[in-house]
Amino acid sequence: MLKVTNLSKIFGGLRAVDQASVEVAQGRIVALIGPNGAGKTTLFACIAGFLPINQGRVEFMGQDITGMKVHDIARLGMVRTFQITQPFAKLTVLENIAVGSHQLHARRDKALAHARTVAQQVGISESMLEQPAAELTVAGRKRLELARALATEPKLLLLDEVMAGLNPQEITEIIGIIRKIREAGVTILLIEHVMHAVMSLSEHIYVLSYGKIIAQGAPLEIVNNRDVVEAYLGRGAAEQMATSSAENPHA
Amino acid sequence: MDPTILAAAAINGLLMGGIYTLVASGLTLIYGVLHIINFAHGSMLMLAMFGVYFLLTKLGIDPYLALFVMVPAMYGLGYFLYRHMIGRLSLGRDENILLITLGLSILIENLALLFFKGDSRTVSLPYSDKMIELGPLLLGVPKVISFVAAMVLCAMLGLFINRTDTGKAIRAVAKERMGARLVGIDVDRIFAVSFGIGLATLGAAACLLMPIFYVSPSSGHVFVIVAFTVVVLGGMGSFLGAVIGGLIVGLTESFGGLFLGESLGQIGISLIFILILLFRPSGLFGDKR
Amino acid sequence: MNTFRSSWWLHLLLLAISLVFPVVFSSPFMVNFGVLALFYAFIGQSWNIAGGFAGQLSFGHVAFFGVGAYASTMVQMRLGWNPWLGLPVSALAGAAAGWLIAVLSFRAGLKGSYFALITLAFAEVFRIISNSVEITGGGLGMLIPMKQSMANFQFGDRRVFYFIILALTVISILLALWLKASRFGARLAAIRENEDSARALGINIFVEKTKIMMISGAIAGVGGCFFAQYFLYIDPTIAFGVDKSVEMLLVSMIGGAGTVYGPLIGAVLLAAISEVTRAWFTIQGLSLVLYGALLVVIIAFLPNGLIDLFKRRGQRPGRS
Repeated sequence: MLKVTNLSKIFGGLRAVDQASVEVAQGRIVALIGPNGAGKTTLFACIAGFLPINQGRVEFMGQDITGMKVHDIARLGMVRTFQITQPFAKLTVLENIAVGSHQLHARRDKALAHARTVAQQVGISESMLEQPAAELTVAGRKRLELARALATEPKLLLLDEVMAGLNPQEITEIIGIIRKIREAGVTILLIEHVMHAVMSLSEHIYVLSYGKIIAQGAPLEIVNNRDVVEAYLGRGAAEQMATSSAENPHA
Repeated sequence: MDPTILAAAAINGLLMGGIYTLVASGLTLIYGVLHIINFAHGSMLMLAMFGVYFLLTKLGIDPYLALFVMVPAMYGLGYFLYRHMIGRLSLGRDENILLITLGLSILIENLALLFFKGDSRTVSLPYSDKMIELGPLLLGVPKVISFVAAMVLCAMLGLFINRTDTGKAIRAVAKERMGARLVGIDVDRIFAVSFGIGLATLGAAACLLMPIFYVSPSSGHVFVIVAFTVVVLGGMGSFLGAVIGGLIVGLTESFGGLFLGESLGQIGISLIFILILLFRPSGLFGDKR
Repeated sequence: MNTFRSSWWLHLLLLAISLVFPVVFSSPFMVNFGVLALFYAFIGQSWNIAGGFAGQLSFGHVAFFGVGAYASTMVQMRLGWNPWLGLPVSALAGAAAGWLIAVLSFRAGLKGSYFALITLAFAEVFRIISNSVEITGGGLGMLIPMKQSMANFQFGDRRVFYFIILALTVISILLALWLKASRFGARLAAIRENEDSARALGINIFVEKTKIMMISGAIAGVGGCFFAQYFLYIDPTIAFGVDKSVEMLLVSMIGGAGTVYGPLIGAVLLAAISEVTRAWFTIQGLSLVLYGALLVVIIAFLPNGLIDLFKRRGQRPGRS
């Protein structure tokens, strides 16, 4: 579905993304993790066409989309959400989602009806639909962001920290919703910091650190990967953890 | 084309350009510090010029001497206006502020029209017709005085911004508002000071323009376009840009008039404005915002 | 949701009132007032669909008005065409100007205040050109010789003009209503609120913005043609001066930018101010002073326009 090859993005002297290669097979849920500032959102922005790429290729469903405009990529079926939510503030929740529905539904009434259905799928209550988007809570905004993207009936969803700022209850709900979305046939690539969600949802994980992919594999492999631990906790941390758990088997 | 005519046009363009620099530096300061695009800049200049006019006709004060009156008076007006009006109104989107200052400019322009009627006023001074020789060229004395004065004032403003404590504070607020607040700078006071200085430059420019130009209620409109072009050309918030931009605009106006005639010649300035916005909106020296 | 829109009888009532107006108030003063109010509602709507609906605030909308006015006058005076052809000609001219300014500005990625300022500069360029070129009559402008007849698009009975501008205004309102109910309108609202999100959802913002500028330009252009036929005289200041830009902007912002009837509400108020100050105070230009003051007050205290006053009575504030 998605194949990113040796993508590099350079800002001035800084290599924000360095020769990253990512593959997402159809129907899978793949996660992109890494410490803050690793370049995950930048990578997303490059893939979705928001930033021009300095080096590398992006292929979507076999087609080379490198350098294509954002809206054309979105129309092909790849839609992203934003880490810092960007709702259409003065429009109602329903109208927000309808903008997404309009991608495939030209008539207003059809689009609104479709938006209603999507809202339900994502767990947005009826009462919220008529609220102006600006008045939503963080959790509401995240759901709206998700619903809006989903309304375009995408083939590939790029979810950027869709769980940031949610409480455990809300996270559990979102996990369920994301699973259902996948069951409906959508492929998902997500950036996430909430580790247990990443573990339970994803089938394959890429780890980004200082712009480079330092590891990839199944969740259990990643957790035990020394480079990954060090990327998050600092050099020598892996060894420290190994020795301390050897000394204190019950810790 | 006679080289003397070209040279004369060039010199005259530069001389006017110096004054445009002064006008634009106020605008760029206000934008750089407060992020307000002051559309009323032109009409306020027009008001200041009327002030100079009346100081001369009613009180007999020479425009150049009026500098000592107008500059502090306009500074005070600016400070006051900011504290009691603009400060409160400048919350919200950039475009809202632009609209408010647009409204203000219409208000001021038409009030002036109401009170002063539409005719242009000029002043006649004992030295209005005196000339200075510069090689084969004859330059009007008032123009030269105004240019020199404008350059001196710009230099003073530059020194103020770069060498004094208040100037440092102004630069700090312009660069990073929140950070400036955090290190204890009274940001609101700096806003008021900056707005005051912005208007003060208009007071000065008015004194320098009156001897060599005319004023009418609709001049505000003309000045606004010139001022904005200079600022956009030089770069919003860049002082050096205002200087270079002012000189370039002055030259353009002069050569435009020479080659295209009175009427069409004015197009040069608007065209520069459009071209800069289309191809290099950050201007020659501005930061890419 | 939008109860106003679904109460079609309100629209009909408004239409009935406006149809009956010149019959009930047939004095020249009132008819003129009516024409003026509708005229500003019409060209105000032009600004509104670009600025209020799509969020592209322009300070130079008079450019389209002037292009239309000159285009229709020139084909009449220089080419000898039938004046009624001025209507489609001015629409095309306005649309072309809209296209040009849109393509240049949006390719360069101009938004917000920069866009507002560049439109101002374009209008100024048009003004200077029309002031300097012979074909437009230069600074003297163009006078249309009075020859009143139906075929000549000139009417002694001003009420005919009233009904013409009423028809045009009704069309503009229908257009606005259609925008509210269409995909195009929804996309414009999205663009207005957040361009990045709009892009991410598959909207080609360049194309949509250009489309609305062309439509907006066409409307303003037709307004120019009407104005020329009503007053039989245009010159660079009338056609491209800042005043009209301000009036187009003002009626929309006062009445409520982004609403269907905002420009009409604002226009009635503006026309009232204009005619009242002219008749009672005989002071030239007092109305403009009030316009300026109004603009400041409205933006500062009622940025959503007078429509806000209606909304605040317990009704849900929402997309207007």
